[in-house]
Amino acid sequence: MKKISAALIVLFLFTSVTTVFAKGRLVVYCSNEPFACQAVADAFAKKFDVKVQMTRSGSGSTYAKILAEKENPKGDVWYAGTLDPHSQAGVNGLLEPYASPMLKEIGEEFRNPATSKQHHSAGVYAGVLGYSVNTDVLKEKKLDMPRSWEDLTKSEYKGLIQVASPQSSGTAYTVLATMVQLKGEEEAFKYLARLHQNVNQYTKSGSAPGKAAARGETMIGIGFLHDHALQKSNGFPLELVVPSEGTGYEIGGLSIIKGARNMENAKRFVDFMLSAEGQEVPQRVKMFQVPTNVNANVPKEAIRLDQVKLIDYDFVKYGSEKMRSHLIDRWAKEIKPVKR
Amino acid sequence: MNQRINTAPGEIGPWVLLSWISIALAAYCLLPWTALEYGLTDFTKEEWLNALGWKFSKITLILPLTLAALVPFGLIKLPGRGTGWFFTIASGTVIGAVLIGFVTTQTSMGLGCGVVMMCLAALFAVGISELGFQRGDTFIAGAVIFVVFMVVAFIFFPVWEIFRNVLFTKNGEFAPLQFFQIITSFGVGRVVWNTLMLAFTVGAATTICGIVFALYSIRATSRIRVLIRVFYILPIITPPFVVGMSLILLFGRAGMINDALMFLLGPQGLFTPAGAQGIFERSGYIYGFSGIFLAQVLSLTPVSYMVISGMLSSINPSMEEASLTMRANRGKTLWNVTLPLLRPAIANSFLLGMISSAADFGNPLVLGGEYDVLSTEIYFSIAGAQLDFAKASALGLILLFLSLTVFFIQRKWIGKKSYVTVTGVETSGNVTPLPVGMQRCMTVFVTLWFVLVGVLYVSIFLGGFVKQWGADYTLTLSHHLELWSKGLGSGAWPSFRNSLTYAVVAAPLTTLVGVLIAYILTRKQFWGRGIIDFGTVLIFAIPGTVVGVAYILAFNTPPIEITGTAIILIITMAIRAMPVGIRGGMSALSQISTNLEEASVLQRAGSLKTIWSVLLPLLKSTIVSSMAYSFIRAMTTVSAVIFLATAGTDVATTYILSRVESGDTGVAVAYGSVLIFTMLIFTLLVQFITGRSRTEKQVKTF
Repeated sequence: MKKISAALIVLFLFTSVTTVFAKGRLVVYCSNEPFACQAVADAFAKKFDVKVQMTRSGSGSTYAKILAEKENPKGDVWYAGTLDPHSQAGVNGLLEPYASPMLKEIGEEFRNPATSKQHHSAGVYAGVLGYSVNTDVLKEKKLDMPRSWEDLTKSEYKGLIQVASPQSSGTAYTVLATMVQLKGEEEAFKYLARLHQNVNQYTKSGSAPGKAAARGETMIGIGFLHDHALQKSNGFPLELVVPSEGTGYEIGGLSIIKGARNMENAKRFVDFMLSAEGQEVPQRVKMFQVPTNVNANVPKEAIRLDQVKLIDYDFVKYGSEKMRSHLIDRWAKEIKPVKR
Repeated sequence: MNQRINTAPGEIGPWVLLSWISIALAAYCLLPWTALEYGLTDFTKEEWLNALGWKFSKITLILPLTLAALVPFGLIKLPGRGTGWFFTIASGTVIGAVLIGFVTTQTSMGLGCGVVMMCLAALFAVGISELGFQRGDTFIAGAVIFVVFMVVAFIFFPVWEIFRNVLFTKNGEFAPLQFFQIITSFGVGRVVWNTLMLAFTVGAATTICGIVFALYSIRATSRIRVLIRVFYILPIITPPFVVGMSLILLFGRAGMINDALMFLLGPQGLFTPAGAQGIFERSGYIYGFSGIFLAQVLSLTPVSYMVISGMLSSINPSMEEASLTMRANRGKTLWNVTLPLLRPAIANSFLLGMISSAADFGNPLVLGGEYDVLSTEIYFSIAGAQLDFAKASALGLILLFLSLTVFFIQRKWIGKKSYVTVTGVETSGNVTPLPVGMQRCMTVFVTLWFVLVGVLYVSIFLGGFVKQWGADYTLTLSHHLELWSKGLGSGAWPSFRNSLTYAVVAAPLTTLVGVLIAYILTRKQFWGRGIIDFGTVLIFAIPGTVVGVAYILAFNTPPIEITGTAIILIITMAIRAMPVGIRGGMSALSQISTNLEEASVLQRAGSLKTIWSVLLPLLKSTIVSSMAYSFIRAMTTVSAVIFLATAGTDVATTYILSRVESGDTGVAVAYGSVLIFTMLIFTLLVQFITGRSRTEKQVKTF
């Protein structure tokens, strides 16, 4: 008994945290991949000697959190995640307008992309939607390389495609919204029904299909191509495809929360993340999104926006909560339960 | 009257009242009255000062003045029941006033406020015990209030929040029909059907397997039956989803067995017969019903084995001997005598299997594919792209209703009956052996089972050392290095440290409250016992995912705003492991005769003294094993904590799950194997210290 309690006390001391003091604080709500969030937070903390507290959750949950804390904001700045919820927060008056001096280095269309058009949010990176094909499996099955969205519905790819479920993944919602914008809602759902026949599994996480394709668990994985580029750079036999009909993309948002308790540091963070130096931080941990700062190094693994056919993605319309739940509910009712 | 109170056992002097008052005063002056903006582990001197009551608002100065005014009443004795009435009313009013203050101003309580409230509750307990509650026993009155507070604050209030979210719209309008709107807006029928279907088949399968294992371990003459006695330990120390993960390693699309079959029977296979080009294709058969079913049966069968074998070993062999003397053969005896005698245990194991299957979250999450069950659907309506609390609440209510129903059936029909025989009398050695043919079949079955379990665990262990399971079997240390060698601040260390810390704090808390509840329920009759009783029923039946949703809803806003902190994780772990403490305490207490305590009370020892010097020494082994087991459960739990862990309070299981979800199986199994290994060593250590296999007993309280 005594032995245990002594051991437990030692354990407790070992695990208790130490407190450090620094010049001011910053609370970052981050909707990027965990390791990218950590890298960015560490880089900023180190450079400005600020104590950074980072909370990571998906962009939808972060929006809800900021909305819930409206009267008494806990966070200072919101980094990354698809633009839709950032836009929504701006429209609903949850964000602080801030035209950073760094905006002059940012690509034209990313300077003020949000619905409100009042510099509530800036674009901090962009990512292209597409799919990747495991070339080993392709050879093994002696199949042709698919090149378009339409190709994916061919019967020879039955059981070879993986995509996330829009019920749990923002990536998959972008797929859904892209299809609706390409084809119109009725046609889009007809297409998704045909695609459904070839899908082997709807994953929960948006980046999972790319990883499954890398391992050969599936031949084709649909998702944001920067996730897949990461796998490719790890040496997996993947070929990234930007569908020929055109495709959707995401903009990563960067916003200051209205009533931030550490406004000075929040602005400093936005300036830092819009600078070339800040945008190159995620590349160090192999996040291959396209930086929006024109001077920033574009990783060679990234898909350049000017080299592919992009649709004119309507971030305002398809970012709205109503449209979102309408499309997701319709998908869950009409597509998901169908036998294949 | 006065005389009686003065001589009552456990009488307390004025110093008790004064010390509670002075603790409250000190807490008010020194500890933060409102919640610190960045949490208790991370603050600056200035923030601490600003959160102090008198700096926060001058109105709060009323509190220390009131407290000071109470001091003289602690020293003098009011006539009759005056003192009792005075402290009851005074402390009750102050508690109410503070609560109303926090709720109306929408402020979050700080640590100081918590301590002050605790002291006031203690004064309240003194007051009502002076009035005759619990026959004037202050300690028991305090314990009752403490337990009632825990149950109300951390069970009833969160569950009520679930109801509130379903009954009211976002704008606070009463909308009783919203529940039906929510559940008809998407295919809820399919999800409920899936859950029930899975629960039913898993319940049946675990029971059958449990019977086989129980018969084999007790009645067979073969050697490997000894192995069964150790295999109960595996599911306790394994986080629930790790079994699912290892199934993917074996049967997944790039799994070992599929690879082997591909190699033999695939399109370019070795033994593909002519004309049957590629009879085997990689497929995702493990994702979905079959996978979840297999994983749950593997991890739940040991529980069912413990329940059934406990009863089987206490069956009096004379019944069977009688049957054999009447010239029935062994098979017939087994079928007509033994199995009917086991009926309560069988029913119990079936219902337990059902509840555990419906509540299981990890395996459906890892293996689910498109087979949605309630627990995963709840999770994704909050964690996914939707963030729909009303939907999560509605689904949570359905799941809670299902498991409460099963729980009440179990309690009504079988209840304690099946537990009575667990530590039953030693039967004479003359048990009937199994029929020969049957034993052979069982040997094959049990051997296959062990081979499968063995391969699963070996694959978890090896999976951490190969580059990419399924694609590249080069041996590597990179997964473990990524986890453990990047300094104490990154990789797996923060989550591992968090898990250990929280579990170490939660374990004694669970045991304390659990044993207190058990003591109150077995020993005391009073008004309000029903609250505690119903609270324990909820604690037993409520599934982890429902706890997660309820806590997010309840503790995300003032006055108790603790989401994102370590406190809520500790409380969640304590509540999740509470059934262990309660069952352990109850079974131990029901074996201790009340004579001992009565004797102690007759010698004018108070109940605190009685519990301390009579009951505690007798309960020592229960307490140690309950602490150990709560610790293990806290380390391996996932369903509730996954809702509540954030970046700073990530625990081991949630960290592993996030790596699984994003497809880093290598890292996930590497961490998983280290976790299992740690738990194994810990369990063996505890068994070594307590001298015998206590955990074996504890597992029955699952």
